[in-house]
This record gives sequence, structure tokens and C-alpha cells, in this order.
Amino acid sequence: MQRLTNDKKKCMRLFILIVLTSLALVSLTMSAAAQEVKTDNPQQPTATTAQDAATDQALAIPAPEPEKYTKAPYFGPAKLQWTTTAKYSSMFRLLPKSAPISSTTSNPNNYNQDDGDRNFHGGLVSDRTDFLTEMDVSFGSNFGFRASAAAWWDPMYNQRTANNNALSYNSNFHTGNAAWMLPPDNAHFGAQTRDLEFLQAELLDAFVHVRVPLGQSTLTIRAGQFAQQWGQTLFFGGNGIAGTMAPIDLIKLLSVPNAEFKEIIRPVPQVSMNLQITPKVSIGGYYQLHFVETRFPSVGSYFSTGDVLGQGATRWFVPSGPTPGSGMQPWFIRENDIKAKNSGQFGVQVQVRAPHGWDLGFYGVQFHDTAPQLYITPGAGPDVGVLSPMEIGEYNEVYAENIKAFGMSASKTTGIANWAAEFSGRLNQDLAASVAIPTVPVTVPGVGVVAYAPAYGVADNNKHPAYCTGDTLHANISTLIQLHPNAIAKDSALVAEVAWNELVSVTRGGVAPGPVGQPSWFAQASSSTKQAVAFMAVYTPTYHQIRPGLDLSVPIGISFSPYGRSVLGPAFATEHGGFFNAGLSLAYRNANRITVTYQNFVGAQGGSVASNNNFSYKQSYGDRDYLVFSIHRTFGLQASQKAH
Amino acid sequence: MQKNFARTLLVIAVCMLAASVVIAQVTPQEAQQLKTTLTPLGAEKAGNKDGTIPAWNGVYSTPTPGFHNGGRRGDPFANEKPLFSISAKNMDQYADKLNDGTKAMMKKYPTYRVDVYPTHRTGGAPQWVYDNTLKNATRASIVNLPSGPTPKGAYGGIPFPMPHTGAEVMWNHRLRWRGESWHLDVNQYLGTADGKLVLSTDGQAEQQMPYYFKDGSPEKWNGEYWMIRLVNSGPPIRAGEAVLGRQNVDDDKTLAWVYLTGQRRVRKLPNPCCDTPSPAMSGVMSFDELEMYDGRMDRFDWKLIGKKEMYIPYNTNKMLQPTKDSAVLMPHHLNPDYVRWELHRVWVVEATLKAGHRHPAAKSRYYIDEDTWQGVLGDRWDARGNLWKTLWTMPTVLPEIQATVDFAFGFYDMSSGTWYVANLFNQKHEQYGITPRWPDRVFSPDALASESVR
Repeated sequence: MQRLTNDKKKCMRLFILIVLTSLALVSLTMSAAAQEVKTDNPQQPTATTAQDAATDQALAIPAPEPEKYTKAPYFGPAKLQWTTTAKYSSMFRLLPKSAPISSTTSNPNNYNQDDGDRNFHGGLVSDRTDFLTEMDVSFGSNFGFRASAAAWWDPMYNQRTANNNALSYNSNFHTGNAAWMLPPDNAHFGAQTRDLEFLQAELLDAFVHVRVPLGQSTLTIRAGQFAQQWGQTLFFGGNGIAGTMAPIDLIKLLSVPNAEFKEIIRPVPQVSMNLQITPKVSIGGYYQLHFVETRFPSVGSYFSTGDVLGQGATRWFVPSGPTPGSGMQPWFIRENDIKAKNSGQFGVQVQVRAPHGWDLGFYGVQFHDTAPQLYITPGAGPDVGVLSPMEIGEYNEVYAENIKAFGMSASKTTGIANWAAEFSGRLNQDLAASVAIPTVPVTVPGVGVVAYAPAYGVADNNKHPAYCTGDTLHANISTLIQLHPNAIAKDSALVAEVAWNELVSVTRGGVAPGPVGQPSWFAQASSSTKQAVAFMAVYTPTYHQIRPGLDLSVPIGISFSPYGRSVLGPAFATEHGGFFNAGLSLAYRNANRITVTYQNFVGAQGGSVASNNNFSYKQSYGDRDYLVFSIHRTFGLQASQKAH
Repeated sequence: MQKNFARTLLVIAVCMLAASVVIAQVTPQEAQQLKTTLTPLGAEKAGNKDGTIPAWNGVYSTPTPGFHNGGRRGDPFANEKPLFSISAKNMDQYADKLNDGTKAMMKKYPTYRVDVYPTHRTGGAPQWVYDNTLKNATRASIVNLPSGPTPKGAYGGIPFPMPHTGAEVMWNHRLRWRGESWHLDVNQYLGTADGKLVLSTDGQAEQQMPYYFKDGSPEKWNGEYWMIRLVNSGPPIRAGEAVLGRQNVDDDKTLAWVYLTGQRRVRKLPNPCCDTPSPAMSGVMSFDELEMYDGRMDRFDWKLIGKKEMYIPYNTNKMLQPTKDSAVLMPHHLNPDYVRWELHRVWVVEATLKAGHRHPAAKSRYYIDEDTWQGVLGDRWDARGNLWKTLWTMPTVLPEIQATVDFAFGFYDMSSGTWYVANLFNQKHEQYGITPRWPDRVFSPDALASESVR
């Protein structure tokens, strides 16, 4: 399995390399062409002063009546727009690691959630350079394509870790019969973690867009790989329709202070259409062609709080006591993921511009959860028996399929505030149970040992899950306020959102079914509450031209969950916790930006999984307050062909 | 001259008094002046006594040789030389014909000067706009809505060709004739206090005045007078950003959206009005400073001071000729070599901040050209009475649609030294292309979301 993943990775890397190279080649040829156009520019706009064109006077061209304007051809003049953003950032850890988050004695489950915490001393934890390049080519307003790619380099991940506990290190295990017993190499980051965090590139957007005028209406089609979201959510997109439409990049969410949901969604291969029926009504739809998972911080990276999840996860320690002869805890090995199928993710929406300034939206979506559940199967696994007692079973990441969501949104502007609300309900949503979903192994002749859910037979990620599913309700209410010029700043904005969700009914009880239909049973079994609520607000005063060409803004963000442990899991919010941050952002001449932000995580500290194997909903980033400094600059190239 | 002006003021004051006492509207008999002593849009037909302002002889519609729609525009007056120049040295001589902002600029910058050219009264409109203007003279009135004084019953022409109040003049400016539908491809720059120019927006815009749909009527019209869809293609840091505005004469019904790059959806923009800094203008220009004034009418008391002769930028097609933006820009102001000034009669309107309202401009004075109703110059004073900003627009001749329309506009901030210029066409192939009517869906948020790619 390990080898298979490596091969896949190699293929992927090769693919990205090919795409990037071709992108670069295309851009180069385009830019060369663009340069030609550009150098032509001074001559092209022929001077039409009276003297110059005196010879034309005999023609006395009549002015074109607007009504007689000739119909524009379908393909207009070519236009290229290519921008690249270079960014350097360094992040400093401000607190030493704390016992509730890293000590295996205070919480045995910390064996599987301490690597990211232990790998970093105070001080520099990230020393990262990022490139984002975006290229748009259009031929008039009806046809065009777009491609974008990102690359990054963080030498921190090619250096030694600060890890001092090999016995709880979930990466870099030794291979070979005798070496299996040795504790892993905790002085270095795991190969897969280094692969993602040290030096990597990825293709983001790659799609064509086409516009087809159909009488008074217009059809727009987009096909390829891209990210999109519907609805009116801002920060808590995962709680709304937006969260059903795209996987997210949690690394970005955690390392970019006050990131809005839009910044963290990942592109998906898909086809989307939008038909503007009347100026006030439009209908849209999409179909996704490939399932893409949410990206978790890779195991052992600074923002990783789970060593058994995401890239680099290979072993799950079972803290039952050290194995004789090794000193390590026995483990479950990560085996094949139960990925969601590539088909079956689609959605439709209707947008209505209603009277009195109301914008309404109606949505229907089917999707697969991009964050996994985990199945563990004691006694299963390729090396059980061979390497016993070290390996005592296997575990799998399982992505729930065919969740349905229906929702509506409304937005209106009154005075200085824009208000937006979005309500949605989900059917068959997988619920955040305790991490260790108890499955009992069974041997099926010809198949081997598989996970087994007593209630249904063999557990899968669709109709026979070993996790619980239920019907849930979600609401997000948000506001954007452009404050009047006031004593603090002439230009200031407040963005705030409250998100709430509720478990209405449990529709599938998982392996140890309680009475289906009763959320209270689920709540008891999983430590979640029926309802949960969280809010976030960012206030940003901006001071323009404090020095010539220099704008300063001072964003201050706060996030807090006053009540509840969401059935969507701790990713929704930390109970009685959240964060506070304050930043200084300087923009110079619309091209360079320097930002310094202090981030403080608020709430009682604890690893994400408590010692009772349930989610703790505590602040698992409590000892990872940081200061981040970044500088970035955007470069651009534009060229266009002269019309007609 | 002085006496002349005083007499005009007196006459106007008397007229105003009479008007406000008797009736705010114009009687059908009075409206007949639009066919005799006044131009069809309400300017004085006759020239001035000095002969420095000629009589109005109809809208300028001589095609500019070599011009084709969608291309660059020529200068119909390219052969003319300035009559004289005004600078700090000789400005006292012309003080009564210069606004405070222009005088302050000349005092502050020795490089700033005013080149005065022969006056050409190019302004006007097509016949159907004249017909509507005549109808508006007797059918339009001002109603007081929560959003301020708002025209009612007007359509397809200047709403108040024979105005009695400051608010009416301001509405004539906001509802001036400038074509039905057009396309803009423009650059905008921020000038910093230390004299550096920063590209703030490289934008493409579709614009439309539904108020001037030839086949419309006051009954069918819903109050939306100006539609704007602006998409940034530069500077690189702002590429793909877009805004959409549906301006309504009742400002409470004005709608605006902003396109959010990355998530490919739109969101309603809060408070696109008044003294809120416009994000498209580097945050230094407020929404109501667009094109001299475009904002809610409820914050100020609008006082009509009267009419006077002033040197104002006019027929500024010369500014379109260089093919580099840098040619028309200097560190602290526009290059005076390319700014054509002429003597014209302007309406003077003073706006005083109402008690209980807030706005950094405690007092403003606006100068609106009589022939086009284009607001051309504006001065704004802060709460301490210091001259704060001076606003300007560059009226440009578009013979093919029989209009003289503001192209570039901007301001000079006298206190900070910052300045801003919007809508420079110099580096563009197309200079204000007249288009067929845009379908209304172009100005819908969903169209913006589904057609934007960034």
C-alpha cells in the first residue's frame, strides 16, 4: 500500500511538472506575442487629429447611430492577463508545548496527536516562500480559459525536528524484521510530510469558459478544474452550502489569520452552467467529475493536531502499554482509504433578485464528505501475526457518500450594513463520533479480514456505515458593515458571522446502534451536543496615505463558541474557545504588502481526542500562539489585440 | 463686468424668491423660453457682452475626421492655440472667474497653470432629448424622500431646464445627457503627496443610462438612471475584482454588489455612498466625489447661488491624444499642456452640511456648465473652514452622439497633497465606445458572478 501511494505520488508530481512546464511554455509564447502587440501599441492607436486625417475628410464618415451598431462577432480580440504573486513569510511560535496537548501521561491519546506540537521549539517554525501564478486568456467576452498554479518552499521541513519523544512519533518507522521493534526516527519529518510541506507545486485552476447568448438570456458554461461556492456564508462556510461544494485546504485556514472561506477552498474537476433567464432570475448547476479530499495539515507539521489523519499518516498507536522488547505501543497500520466515488456530486441553484432589494437563493446539492471518518479493525492488516505483537490491526480513512443538502439564502443592504442569512438542512450527514469507531473484524472467505458492522453486514461509506449519520439543520447569519468615517478611522469595516447547527435526528446508528431517531442518545455516546453555535468577527480600520503611497490597515479578529460541541466535529468550533488576533498590514503603491499578525488561541487546552476516546472540543492549538510576518508582491503582464 | 454679474445675481435672486413663493415648477408659457431665449436644455442662448462667450448655435455634431466608433477620438479643435495663460503670477487679474481650488493649486505649484482657449459651446443633445426636456420643464417636480430631494415625473431629458433650486441643478448634473450605452476601458491613478503616480485601477466598464432609453417614458421608468459594471484587469494585485452598481434616483433603492475573487460569487456592497471611501479609488476618493458629485442628497442643504462666467476645463479632447498616460500626468497634477480651459457660464450651487448629519465636507461649492449640465469644478471645505479638496471633470466632445461628456475626473487634496485621476484613455485602443443598448442582465449580480473567471 505504501509503495502504491508512492507511485501515485510520483505520477501526480510528474503530472504537475508537465502541466507547469506546458503552462510556462504557453505563457512564454503568449508573453512573447504580447510583447509584440505591446511594442506595436504606440503606432497602432492612429492619431485621429484633424490635421492627420484631413485627407479623409472627403469621405465625411457619418456618425454611427447606436441602433445601427454592427453585431459584435462571437470571438473578440485576444487578451492576456498574467499575474504572479510572490510571498515570503516567517512564523514564530510563542509558547512552549503544554502537557494537556502533548503529554501521553495526561492523555494517552496524545500518542496520536502530539507530533506537530513536539516537532517545534519556540521561535521560527516556518520560513516559507510561496508563488501563485494566474493566467487568463480571453477572446472577447464569450470565450476564454484560465490556469493557475501554486508552488512553495519551506526549508524548515528539511531540517531536524525538535521532537524528543520517539515513542509517540507516528512517522519514519523502520522496516525489516528486527528494525520494526526500534522506535522511529523522530529527528526528521516523515517523508510524506516533507513532500507536501518542504517543496511542492500544484495546479489550481485549469478551465475553459464559454458564453452563449440565447436571445434575451445568456448561458455560461465552465469546464475543467476550478473552485466555486454558492450561498452567503463568510467564515463558517463548512456549515453552509459552500462547504458541500468543495474540499478545503486546512493548512491555509490555519496559517493565514482571518482567512475567509473563499481563500481556503480547493479546486475540483467539474462542469458548471448558469442560465440567466431574465435579468432577475438565473438558474445554475454543476456536476463534479472527481472526488477530492480536504487537505489536512500533514502529520508532524506545525498545525497538525492528529497524527493518524491526512498526508503522512501511517500508524495509529494503541496506548494499551509498551510492547515487550520494543518499548513502543502496539499500532494499527493505515490501510487503503475507502474513498468516495467520483460520481454523484452535483447541485442546482436558483437566484432571484426579488423586490425591495432582496437577493434570494435556493440550493439543492448532493455531495460526499471531504473529511474522513476512521474505521479501525483489530486483527486485520497485512503484517498482523507476522510482526505481532507490534501490529494488532488496521485502520482506514472513510469518506461518507451521498449526503444531500437543501438550502436557501437571503441578502439585503440597509444603510451601512449588508445582511445575509443562509439556512440549510442535510440528510444523511455523517456525524462526528468518537474517533475510534468500534468495528469488529470478520473473515470473509476469499476476501480476508474486513471491517464489520454488526447492524448491517460489511461496513462501507454509503448505505452501511459504521459511523452514525443523521439529519441536521444549519444557519449562518452574517453582516458586512462599512462604518461611517469616525474618530478611529475614516475607512473601517466590520465583518461578522454567527453560525449554528443542530442534530435533528439520527438516521443510521453505526455499529453500536442506539435508538435511531434520537439525537440525545447520539449526543451521549459521542460527547457532542444537539446544538452548537459559534461566531467570528473581523474589524479592519484602514488609514490611507499615512505616508505618500502607503496605506495601513489594522485588522483585529475574534472567534468564539459560547455554546455546544457540534455534531460536525471540532472543526466547527472549540467549545468555549476560539481565537483572537491583531495585525498590521502595510500596502505600498498598490503592489507590495507587508503584514505582521499576532494570533492567540483561546480556550481550555487539550488534544482533540480526549482520554475517553471522544472528541474533546478543547483548544488543541492552545500552546501554538504565533507571530507571523509576511511580505508579498504581485507582478503582472497584460496584452491585448486591437479590436477588429 | 462685476456690475453685470451682480445684476444677474440680483435678477436670479428675485426670480428665485418669486418662484419659491408662487410655484416651484415652470408654467407652459415660461417653458416656451426653451425655444426662444434659452437653448433647448435651458442655457442662455445669447453670448456675453464682451463677446468672449459666443451665442449657442446648436449642438456640435461635425464628425471628427478619421473617427470610427470603438477607436480613438480626435480633437476637433486641434489647430487652436491658447488665447492666454493664467498662473500664480497673473491670477489676480482673473480672480473672479476662477474657483478657489484652481487658485490654491496655482499658489501651491508653480507648474500649475490654466491655458484658456476660445470658447466653443459644443454642448447639447439630440432632438428627442430636447423634446423630453421641454416636457420635463412642466411635468417634473422635486419630492422630498427620506433619501433627500428627488426628481419625479422627469424622463429622457434634463429634468429641470429652468431650475429654481440648488437640488434641481444638482439633479440636472446627475441626469445629464451622455449617451444611452457605452463601454469604457480606462486607467486610474493615485498621485501621492511626494509626487509618485500609482496605477490604482485598469478597468473595463459597461455603462448605461436607462433614464435615456429613447422608447421609454416617465411611467415605465423605475428610477434606475445609471448602471455600471466595472471589472479590473489591473493592477495585478487587483485583477479580477469587480463592482456592479444600479443607481436609483431614490438613493435608498440604489443597489451595489462586489465580486469576490476566488469564491466566484457576489456580495451586496454596504453603504456605497457619500463619504465612504471607494475601494476602486484607492480609498482616497469618496463615493460622492465621482464625476464631481454623485451621492445622496439628504445630507446637505443645497443653495442655488446663481450663474456666473468661469474658466472651466472644456472640450478637452486634447487630453486624449497622447498615447502614454504619463504624458498627461505630472507629479502633483495633470499636465497643463493638455488641459483645455474655456470661459463658460456656470451655475453655482453651495452645499452646507445639515445639522445632525456627518460628512467631512462641511461646505462645498459646485460649478455646473449651463450648456451640458455637466458638473465641471467643485471645491470642498472641511469643518474648520479650510479648503480641502478641489474636484474636476474633463468635458469631452462626442459629436456622433451629440454630447459633451466628462471623461477624466478626479480631485486634488489641498491639505494632504494627494490627488487622483480616474478614466484616462491614453493607453487604450478604444476611447469611450458607444454601444448598442446592453441587455439589463449585464447589470445583474448573477451575470457578473457567472461571467467572471478569477
